Amino acid sequence: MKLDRRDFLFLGGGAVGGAAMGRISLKGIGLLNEALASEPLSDPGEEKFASSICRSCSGGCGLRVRTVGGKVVKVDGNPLYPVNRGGVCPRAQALPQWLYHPDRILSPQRRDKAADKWQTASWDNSLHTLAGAMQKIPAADRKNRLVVVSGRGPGVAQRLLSRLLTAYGTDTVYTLPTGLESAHQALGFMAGSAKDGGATRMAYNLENSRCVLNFGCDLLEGWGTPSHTHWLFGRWRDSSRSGRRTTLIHFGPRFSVTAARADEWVSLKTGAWAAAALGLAYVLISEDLYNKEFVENCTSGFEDWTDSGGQRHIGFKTLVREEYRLSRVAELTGIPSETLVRVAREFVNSPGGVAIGPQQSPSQPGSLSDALAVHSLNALAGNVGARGGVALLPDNGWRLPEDPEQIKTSGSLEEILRAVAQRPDVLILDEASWLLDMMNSEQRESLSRIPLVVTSASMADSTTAVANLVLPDCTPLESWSEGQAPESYPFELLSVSEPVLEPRGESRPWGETLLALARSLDPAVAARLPWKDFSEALKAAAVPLATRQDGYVFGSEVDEQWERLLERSGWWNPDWKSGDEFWKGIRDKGGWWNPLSWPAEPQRTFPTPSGRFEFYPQRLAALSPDKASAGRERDRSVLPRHVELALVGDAREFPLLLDPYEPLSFYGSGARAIPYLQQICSPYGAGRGWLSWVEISGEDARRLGIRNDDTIWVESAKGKIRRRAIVIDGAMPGVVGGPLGGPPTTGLWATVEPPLADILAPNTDPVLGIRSSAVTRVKLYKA
Amino acid sequence: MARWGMVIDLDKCTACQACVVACQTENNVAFMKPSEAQMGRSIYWIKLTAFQEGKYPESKTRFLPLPCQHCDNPPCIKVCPVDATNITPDGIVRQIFARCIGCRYCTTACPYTVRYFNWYKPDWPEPMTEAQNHDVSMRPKGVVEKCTLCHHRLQKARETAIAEKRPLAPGEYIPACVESCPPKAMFFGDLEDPNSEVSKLSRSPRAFRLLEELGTKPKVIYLSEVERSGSNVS
Amino acid sequence: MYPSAAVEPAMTDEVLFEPMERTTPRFYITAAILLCFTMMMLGVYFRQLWKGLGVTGLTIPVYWGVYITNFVFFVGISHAGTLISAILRICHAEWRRSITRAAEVITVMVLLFGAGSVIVDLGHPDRALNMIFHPNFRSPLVWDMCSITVYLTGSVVYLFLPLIPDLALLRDRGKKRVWFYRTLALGYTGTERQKRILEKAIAVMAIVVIPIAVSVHTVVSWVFAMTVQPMWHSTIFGPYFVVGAIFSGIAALIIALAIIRNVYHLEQYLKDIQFNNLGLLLLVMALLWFYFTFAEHLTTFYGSSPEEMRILMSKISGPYAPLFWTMVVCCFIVPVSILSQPRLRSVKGTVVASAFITVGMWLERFIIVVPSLSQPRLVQSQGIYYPSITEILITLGFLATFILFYVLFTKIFPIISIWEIQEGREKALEEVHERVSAYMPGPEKVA
Repeated sequence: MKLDRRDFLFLGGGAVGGAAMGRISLKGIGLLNEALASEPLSDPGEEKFASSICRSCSGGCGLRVRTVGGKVVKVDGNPLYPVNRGGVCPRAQALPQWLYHPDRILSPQRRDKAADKWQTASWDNSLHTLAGAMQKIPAADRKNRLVVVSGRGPGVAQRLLSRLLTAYGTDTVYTLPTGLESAHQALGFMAGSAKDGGATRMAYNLENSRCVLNFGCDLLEGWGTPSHTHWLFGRWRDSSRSGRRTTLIHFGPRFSVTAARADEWVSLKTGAWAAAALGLAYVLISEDLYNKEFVENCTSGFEDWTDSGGQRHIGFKTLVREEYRLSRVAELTGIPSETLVRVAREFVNSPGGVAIGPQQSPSQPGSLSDALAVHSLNALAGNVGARGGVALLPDNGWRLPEDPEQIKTSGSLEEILRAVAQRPDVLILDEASWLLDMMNSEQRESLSRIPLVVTSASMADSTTAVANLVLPDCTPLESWSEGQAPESYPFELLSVSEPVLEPRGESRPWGETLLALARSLDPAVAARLPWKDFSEALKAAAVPLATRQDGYVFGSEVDEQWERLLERSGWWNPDWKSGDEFWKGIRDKGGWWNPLSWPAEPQRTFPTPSGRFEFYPQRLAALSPDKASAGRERDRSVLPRHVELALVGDAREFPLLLDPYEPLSFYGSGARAIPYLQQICSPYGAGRGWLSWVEISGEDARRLGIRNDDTIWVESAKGKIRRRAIVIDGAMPGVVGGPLGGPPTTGLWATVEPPLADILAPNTDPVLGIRSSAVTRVKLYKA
Repeated sequence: MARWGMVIDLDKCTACQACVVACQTENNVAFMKPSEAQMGRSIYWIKLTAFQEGKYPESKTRFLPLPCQHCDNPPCIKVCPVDATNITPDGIVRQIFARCIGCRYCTTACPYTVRYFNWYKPDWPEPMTEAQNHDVSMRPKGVVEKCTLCHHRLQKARETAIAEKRPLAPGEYIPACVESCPPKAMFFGDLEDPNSEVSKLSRSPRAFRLLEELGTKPKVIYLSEVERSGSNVS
Repeated sequence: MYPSAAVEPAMTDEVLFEPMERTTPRFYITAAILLCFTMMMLGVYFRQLWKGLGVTGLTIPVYWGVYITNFVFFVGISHAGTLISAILRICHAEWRRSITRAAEVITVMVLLFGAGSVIVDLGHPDRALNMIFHPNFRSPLVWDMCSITVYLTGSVVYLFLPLIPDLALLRDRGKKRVWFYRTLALGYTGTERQKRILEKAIAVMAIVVIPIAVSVHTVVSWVFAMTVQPMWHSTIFGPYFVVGAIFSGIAALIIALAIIRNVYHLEQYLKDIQFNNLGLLLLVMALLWFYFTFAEHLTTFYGSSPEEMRILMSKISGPYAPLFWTMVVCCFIVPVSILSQPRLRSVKGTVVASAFITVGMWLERFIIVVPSLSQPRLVQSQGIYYPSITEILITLGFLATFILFYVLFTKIFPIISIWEIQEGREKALEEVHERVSAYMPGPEKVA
C-alpha cells in the first residue's frame, strides 16, 4: 500500500479529528447530562399544620399553614375561622413568597440620605437613633414635628402605637383610608353615632341580603375582606342553601370584574352615583313601594317639616319628587328609565335588599352627598339595622387595659399629605407603601427633605426607597397576630394566633419594636407600655374581654348552629370560666366571635338628635359650610343630592375619563414584588404582569387606532405617563380604567415607572375633608 | 376503579385566581422574570381565561378557570414519542418529567392549550427555595409540565388509607385549587361513584364540557351560569 | 448496427476526475467561509443547550417555529435525490445519467440535517434515545423516526451501489487515496456476473426506495395532520407534502447542479437539455402544488368553520399575510412565468426559478406550522412569532454545513456518475434505438 504525503495527512487528519470528536462527544454528553440533570432532594423533615392570621390586607383572614421541617410550604384558609371559612384570596396563597422573598430586609438598615447605600445596623443602635430624634423634639412641638402614618389594620399593635404616641405627646395617628370612610360617616350622620360616643363601625349583613345594589364597589377585587366577600358571593349563588339566589346589580362606569360577574351591570356616567340612587328613590316614592312602616315611624325628614325655630324645611320626598324625575336622572346618569323602574321594583320586592356604595375603595371612598343618597335608599327599604341590611355597630375591637383616651386617628389622605408637606423632623411609615403609591413624583421628592424617615417595611418597597432607617417588620407568619372584625363584617370577632416560625434573620414583629421603642424613650412613656413582649400585651388585652356575657370561642359550623339556636331560646353557655381559660381557649381555637351580635330585631330608634333615622341629618346641617345660604338652598345642600364631579381640564381636549381602581393583587399595599401576584394581576390582559396598564373600551380603541398591548400615552392636564393598553371590548366608551399598582419600583425586579398619581386630579369632599374621588379627564394616543 | 373528575361552577366563580396561586405554590411552579412573562411564557397549571362577548351595552365577559381537562380520550398522549405522558387507570393524565424529551408535540396537540414548557432552568431566587413542596418534583429546563390533579396528594392519601387499613374516604384527596376556592365554586371527586357530589353535578342540566365536539371526553365539567332569581316586574 | 455515438477522440471524462485530484484555492476559501458558519452554529447551539430553548423566539402558544419548519423543509428536499434518480432510472430516461449522483448525495446529506433540526428543537436532546427505549407507536414522531431511518439507510445504499463502479475506476486510476477507494470498491472488477448483480441490486433499490420516500414525507405531514388543530387536521396533507417535497427537491437539485456545473466546468455533462427537462418537471410540480394549495384554502374558506377561518384570515389578510403572499409569488407566479417559456428554461432561467421556489417553499412550511399554533381555540393569541437570532444562525449554519458536506463529497467522490456516462455513450444509443423501433408499427424484430 503506497502512502504518499497527501494520503498520510488525510489519514492522520481523519484519525485525529475522529478521535477528538469521539472524545469530545463522549465527554460532552457527560457534561450535558450533568447540566441537564435536576437537583436531588434531601430529606425534608416533619410535616406540621399551624394556624395564623393574614395581614396582607386589613381583613385578617384565618390561615392554616402547612410547614415541613419548619419551613412554610403552603398557606390555606382555616375552615374554623368565621370570616373566611376555609377559603383565602390569592394574596394569602402567595404568603410563602413574601416570607422567603429575596428582597426581604432581615436586619435594620440605615443611611444618611436617600441616595446613599444602605448600611446594616443593630437594633439597639437603630432604636436609639429613632428615640433620640424623637426626644430631641421639644414637647410643645411634638404635635406636628413627628408624623406617624400607619396602614396597619386595627388591633393590639395599633393600640400600642396610640398609647405610645399619646404618652409621647402627639395627638394624631394617621391611618390609611379603608375606603369606607364616606359611607361610614354618612351613616353616622343619618343613623347616629353610638350612645356612649364610642367608636362605631359600619357593617353589612350581606349573608342575608337578597338583592344587592352595588354602587361601584369593587366587591370581587378587594372590598371588605376579600375572602369573606368571595365566600358571600358563593353563598349568594348557592340557591340550595337558602332557597333563593341573591341578585347582585352593579352600578358603575367601569366594566370591572364585579360588573362582569354581577347579574346585571347598569352602566352609569362617572360620578353620578347619587343621581342613580335618587332616581331609584323616585320610583320607590312615586309607586309607593318604599317601606312605609319604617319610614313613617323611624325616620325624620322624609316629609316636609318645620323646625323648632319655625323654619319650614322641605322633606326628602319633596326633593326627590321635584328634582330627580326619571327624565332628569336618565340625563344625568345615562340610565334608561325602564331600567331604573325595573331595578327599583326588584330591590324592594325581595326582603333584605341592600345598597352598598359609593365605590368604597381607598383611592376613591366616594363623596358624602353620594353616600347619603345610597343610605337613603337603604332607609326606604327599611333595612337600616335590620337583617340583610346595613348598621352601625359599636366597634368592640381589641383594647388595652385602662385605655380611656382615644388618640385622634385620621384616615384622610389629604390631611396626611398636608402633614408630610409641613416637613416634620421625623416621619414614621408603618405598612404605608400605599401612601407612597398615591403621591405624585413631586410629593415624593419632598419626602427627601425630611431629616429622618423611618419605615417598618419587611421587604424593599416604595417606602424603603425614601427612608433612611428601616426597622424591619416580620410577616404575619413570624409573629403573634391578632385580628378583629373587619370594617364591613357583621359580627364581633377577636382572634389571636401564635407565630408559625421564628422571625427570619433579625426582623422583629412591629409590636415588639414598639415596646422596645417605648423603653428607649423616657420612663414616662415606658411606664405606659409595661409589657415584656407582645404576647404579654395580647394576653393583657384579652383577659378583660373574658367578662363578656356573650359570644363563643371558634368551633365547627355545626356547633355554631346549635349554639345560636340555644341562645335564641335565651340560653348562653359560656365556653370559659375564667380570664385565663378564655385566653387559652382563644389561643387554641383561634379566637372568639359573636354570631348573634347583629341586631336580632330591626333597629327602631337611632342615637340621633331626633331619635330617628334622619334623611335631613341635623348634625350635618350644623356643620355645613353653606351656613350663609338659607331656606331651600340650605335644605338642598344637606339632603342627599347629586353633585357634578369637579373635573380639571377641558372636555374637548381631554375627552375621556380615567377612573382609578385597585386590582386585588395590589389592593391597599405593596404586594408588587411578589411574582405569583404579578402574574395574576389582571384577569383580562393575558395576566402577564410586571407592567402598568390602563383599560380602554373596544370602541375607543378602534377610534384611536389603539390595539391590545400597545404602549400609549395617557395625558391629563397635570401631565402624561406611558402605559400599556388593554382593550376590553364590552366596556363603556369614554371611560378608561386606571389600575393603581404595577411593577415593583425597588428590589430585584424593579421597573421604575411614573405613578398614576402623577396625572390624577383628585377631588376632596368639602365636608369630610377626605379624598372623595380621583376621576380625571385624560386623552390617549399611541406612543 | 375511581375516575377522578372536577366540576367548576361558573356561576359562583369570582375570578379571584386564588386557585391559580394555590396550584403554583403547591406544585412548585416556576415563575418567570418580567421579560419572560411579557413574552407570554408564564406557567399556570390552571389559568383564568376571559372570553369577551358582545359589544357595549350588551357586553358579557365569561371567566373560565382552565386546568388540564384530563380527557378520557386525550389527544396529547397519543402523540408523545417517548410515552412520557399517559393516562393512569383512574383517569389522571400524568406527566413523567424524567422521560420527557421536550419535543413539545403534546403541547401543540392539546386543543385546550393547557400544557406548558420550561424554556429555561426555573430560576428560584435563594430564599424562595425554602418554600418548595417536597412532595412534588422540580422540573428541569426543557420538559413539559401541566396540571396533575395534585397526584401527589392522592398518593399520600392512599398511603395513609393503606396504613390505616381502610378505603380512601371521599374528601380525603382534594387538589390544591379546589381546596382553596373562596366561593366554593369547585368540586372534586370520583365520577364513577353515583353518590359523589361531582357525579351528581356532572349530570346537572347546567353541566357542559369544553370542546366536546372534538371527542376528547374531558373530565373537567363546567356548570353554566344561572338565570337570576325571578323578579316580579309587572 | 447503429454506430456508437460520435466520440471525439479527445473526450476522456478527465474533467470528472479533476475535483478529486486537484484542489484550487477557491475551494479552500469556500470551505473556510462555510466552516465559519458551522462554527457559529455550533457555538450558538451550545449556548442554547446551556441556557435552554428560551433563547428562541418561541412562546405559548407557538411552541413550534423555525426549527420544525427546517425539519420539514430539509426532509422535503431529500425527495429530490432518491425520488428523481429512482423514477428516472425506472423510466429509462437517458438524460438522467449525469444528474443521478448529485441528486442522491443531496438526499443523504440533507436527511442528516432534517433529523438534526428535530434534535436541535428538543428540550432534552440527551434523552433522545428514549424514543428507542420507550417508544409509543401511536405517535407520528415515532413513525417519523422509523421511516426516516429506513429512508436514510435506503438512500445510503442507493447512493453507494452505483458508486461502486466509479470507486473501481478511481482505484484503477491509482492517483490518490488508492487504498481508500480499494477498500470501498469491494473488489469490483466489472465482470459480467458482477455487473448483472449490481444492476439487479440497483434496480431493486430503485423500486423499493420510491414508496419509502413517499412514506417519509407523508409521515412528516401526519405529524401535523394527526392532531385536531384547525388547518392542520386536513386529509390533503399527505399528498400535499409529498408534492411540495418533490417540488422543493427538484429546485434544490437544479441549484446544486448549476453550481457544480459552473465550478467544476461540467458544461459538457450538464447540458441545457438536463436543465430544460428538470425545468419542465419543476413546472409540472408548480402547477400541482398550486392546485393542492388552492384546493386546501378554498375548501377551508368555503366551510367557514370559525376556528379555521381565524387562521385562514391571519394568513390571507392578517399578520402572516406578507409571508403568505410572498410564498405564492415565489412558488407559483414567478416560476410558472419563467418555466412556461421554453426560451427561459435555460440554466439561468431554471436557477432563478429554483431560487425563488426554495425560498417560497421554506415560507410555505413556516406558514403551515406557525399560524395554526398562533390562534389557539381557548387562549388569547400572543401576537406574531418572531424567530430569534439563535434560530436564524442555526438555520444558516445548517445550510452552510450541508453545503460544506456536499462540497467535501465532491472532493472525494465523483459528483457525476462516470461509469453511467460511459455506459450511456457506449450502449444507450443502441438500446434506445431498439426500444423506439419496437414502439413503431411493424413486425417484432428478431434480434
